[in-house]
Amino acid sequence: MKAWYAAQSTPVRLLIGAVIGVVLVVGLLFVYDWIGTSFLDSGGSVG
Amino acid sequence: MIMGVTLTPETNRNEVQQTLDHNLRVFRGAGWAIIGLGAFVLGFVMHQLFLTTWLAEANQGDLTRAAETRFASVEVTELPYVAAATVEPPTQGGTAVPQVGDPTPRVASLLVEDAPAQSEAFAIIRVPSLDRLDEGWTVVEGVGTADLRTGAGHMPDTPLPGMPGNAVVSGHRTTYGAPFNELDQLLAGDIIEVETASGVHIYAVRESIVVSPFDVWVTDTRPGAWLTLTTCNPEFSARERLVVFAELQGGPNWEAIYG
Repeated sequence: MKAWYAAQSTPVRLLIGAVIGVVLVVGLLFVYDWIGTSFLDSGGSVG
Repeated sequence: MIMGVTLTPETNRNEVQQTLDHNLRVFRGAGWAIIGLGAFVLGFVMHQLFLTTWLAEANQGDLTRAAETRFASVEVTELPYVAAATVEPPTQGGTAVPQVGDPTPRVASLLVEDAPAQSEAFAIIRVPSLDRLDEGWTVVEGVGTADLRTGAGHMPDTPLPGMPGNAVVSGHRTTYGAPFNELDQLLAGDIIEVETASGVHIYAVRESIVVSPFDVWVTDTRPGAWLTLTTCNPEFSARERLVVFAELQGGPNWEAIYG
C-alpha cells in the first residue's frame, strides 16, 4: 500500500490525502456528537 | 541495569543498543499516544462548547425567519371549546396542580392553528428574566436528535403552546446553543412567553423539579393550559432532567380556558 501510494503522481497523492482527511474529520465529528448526545447533553427530552 | 538492560562484562554492545532502541520506541509511542489522546479530548471540548453552539446560532436566523413566515401564512381558526369545568389557578405557594372548581360546562372560542410538520419552526420562546432566552429561541416540531440540534423541540402528541393540556418543550442545556442553560434560575412567578401563529401566550412558572430521564409522567396532560420545559441536569450531564412547569396566564386563549 505504501509503495503503491509512493508510486502515484503528486496530484493523485494530494487527492487521496484530502479524501482520507475529510473522511477522518467527518468520522471524528460523528464520534464527538455521539459521545456528547449520549453522555453530556442529550437535548433534555424525556422518555 | 540501564533502561532494562543488565550490564555484564559479556554484554554485547549491539544487544545493548537494540534494547535501548526498543525502549526508546516504546517511550516515543506512549508519548504520541498521550498527545493524540489530549488532542482528541481538546477537540471534543471545542466541538461541544463552540462548534455546536456556532452551528445552532447560525441556524437560528433561518429558523426565526421560517417561524415568522409561518405566523403570517398558517391558517388560524376559531373553534368552539367546551370547558368541562372552570379551572382555578393555584394560589401562590400552593401545589402546582390546579384545582377544579365550578363543574358547569361552558362554551368559549379557542384560536387553533394548523399542526406544524415534523422539524418545522413554528414558535419562538422568550423568557425576559433569562439572558439566554430574553431575545427568543425558535421552537421546532419534534424532539429527535436532529430537531434539537437546531432549536428547542416541541414534543409531538402534546398540545401546541397556548392550547389546553400540557405542551412539552425540550432543549439543550450545555451544547447546541444551550437555549435552556439557565432554566435552573427560573423562580415561581417568572414569565415565559411563547409566540405562535395564534398569538403570544404568556405563562407563569409554578414549579421546578429534577427527575429521571424516564419519568414520562411529567408530560401527562393537566387541567388548564400548561407549558412544561425539560432539559438535562446537572450541567454537562444527561443523568437527570430539570423540569419547569408553567401555567397559562395570558394570551389569546386564556379567556376561553380560564375565563
